[in-house]
Amino acid sequence: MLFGITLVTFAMVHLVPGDPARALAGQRATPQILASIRHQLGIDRPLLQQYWHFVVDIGHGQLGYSFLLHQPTDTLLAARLPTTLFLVGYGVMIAVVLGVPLAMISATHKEGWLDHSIKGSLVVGLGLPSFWIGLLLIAFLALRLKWFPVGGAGSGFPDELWHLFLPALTLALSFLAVLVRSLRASLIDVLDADYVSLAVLKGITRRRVYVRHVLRNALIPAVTIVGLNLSYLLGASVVVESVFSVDGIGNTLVNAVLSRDYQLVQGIALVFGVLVLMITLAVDITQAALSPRNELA
Amino acid sequence: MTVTGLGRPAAQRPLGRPGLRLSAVLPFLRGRERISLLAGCGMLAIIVITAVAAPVICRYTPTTLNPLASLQPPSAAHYFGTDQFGRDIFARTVYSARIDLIIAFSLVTTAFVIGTTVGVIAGWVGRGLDSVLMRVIDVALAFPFLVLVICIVGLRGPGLLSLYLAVSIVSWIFYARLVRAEVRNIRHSEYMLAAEASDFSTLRVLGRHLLPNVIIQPLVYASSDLVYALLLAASVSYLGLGIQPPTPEWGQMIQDGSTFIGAQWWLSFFPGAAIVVTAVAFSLIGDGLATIAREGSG
Repeated sequence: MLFGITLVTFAMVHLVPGDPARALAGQRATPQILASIRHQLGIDRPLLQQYWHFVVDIGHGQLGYSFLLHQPTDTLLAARLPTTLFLVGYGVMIAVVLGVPLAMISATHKEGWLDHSIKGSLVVGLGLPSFWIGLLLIAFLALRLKWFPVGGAGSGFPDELWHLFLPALTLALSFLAVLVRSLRASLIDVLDADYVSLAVLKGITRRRVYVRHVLRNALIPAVTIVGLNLSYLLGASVVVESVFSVDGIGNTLVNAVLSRDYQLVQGIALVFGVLVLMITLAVDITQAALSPRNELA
Repeated sequence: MTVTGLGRPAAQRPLGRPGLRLSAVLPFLRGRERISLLAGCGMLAIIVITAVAAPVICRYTPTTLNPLASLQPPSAAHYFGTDQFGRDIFARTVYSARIDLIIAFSLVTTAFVIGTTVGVIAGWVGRGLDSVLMRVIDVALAFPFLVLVICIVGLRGPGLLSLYLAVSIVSWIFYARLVRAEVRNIRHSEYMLAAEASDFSTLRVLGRHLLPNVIIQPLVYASSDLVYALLLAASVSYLGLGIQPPTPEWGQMIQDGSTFIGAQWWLSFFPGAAIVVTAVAFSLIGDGLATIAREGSG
């Protein structure tokens, strides 16, 4: 799997047409200059040899050198990755805080007017472009009301929490529709389950049934849904970071791509791939830990 | 041999073209769930007509510069206001619908055709080919879709063709996975065995007997995929990697207006609203089709 990820990142950068040397040196560079840049980048060597070097470097924790920012890619990413992870985590948190109650209301009032209005707004929510929502939030909450800063990530935990609120909210809103939809479906399944009927028959209060039996079992699908969509969320974070000019790896990727910083692009793509892989694994483990069946074992 | 459950005996159907047909679908176009499909189709029809009739509807062309009327708020003369070059936002939004709709449809169609073909072949042949495909899918899914697209577009150089290529390289995978699962579900059913045992050519078995029975799921998926294709194209253009100026495109218009978002909100607001309306139309159609497919098979 890791092998596949390195292969794809490598292939993407090397097989996609376009000459990195020309991009670096500009249109008027002489053939000699181009050749020397190619040699410096190591792209005049055979592909297999290049791939080998790429993999060996990864083994040493080296991901190449960014010409755009004049820093080794690995130190750059180590500094910026936490911001992205924090943003995505923050976004997921907001989405869950907003989404679980919405899904609960929707599922318990199935086919009622509340359910229909929630479902209706979800259809709209599904079609909201995150960058547009982000801009509107900036226009209204940051520029007009001045409640939040316009951009940047801030420094220190409370400051970060405040700075990244709008980006995280944007991310949460772009994910909310997907979350509530799937969560509503699984909650309805849970509500139909025998153990819920039994709890109701035993005379346990409605509130207690919902909190103790339904919500707990609904958290597992919620974790699954978040896990399945983390890849999507990481992708969305690229756009959101760009809108709010947050210095995470997503915004760095966009800048790297725009200025054709090939090694940086390669490094970031690799980090994204490994990240999704690790998160998928973590979700599997969390899921197992949350399952009530495991308490017996 | 035909799709069952659509309420008419198979013998009454014209021979040889099984699958969803309008006459078979019509009885399902009733009830509350169907409103979604009809509303979606209606909205889409209005959007398409507006886009096609753009020259008739708009008083200005999307690229006419008018420095004397720059950054004007929405008014009777300019319904959606003007941008910093005095270009009419209404005209630009309406003309953008053309390019955005074409991009969304062509992206989804390409993914659908390639993905379905690969899925059918992999599911049918099985063994080595199938496991290779599954590895490819695993690896491709490890990357955020948008990240892959941004990388490929960025490395090839921004533009419509790059966007189209980048999305096509990745998006067929979702269809292939879906179709492959469907094929494996039915390939050992009795009617497939019967078709295989008869003297039909492989092409005929696959095209006439297998395909109509596995095509519904990817079709339903494609209808909701339109939303993602639309948002994806707009996102990539927003980042400056998609459609290049002066061709108006919603994502790019929002990017252009983002510097003015504080005071001249209309620059970015209207193209975004157009995306939302179009996306809602696609979503409603997708939801409607999904309901019909569920009930048709259940």
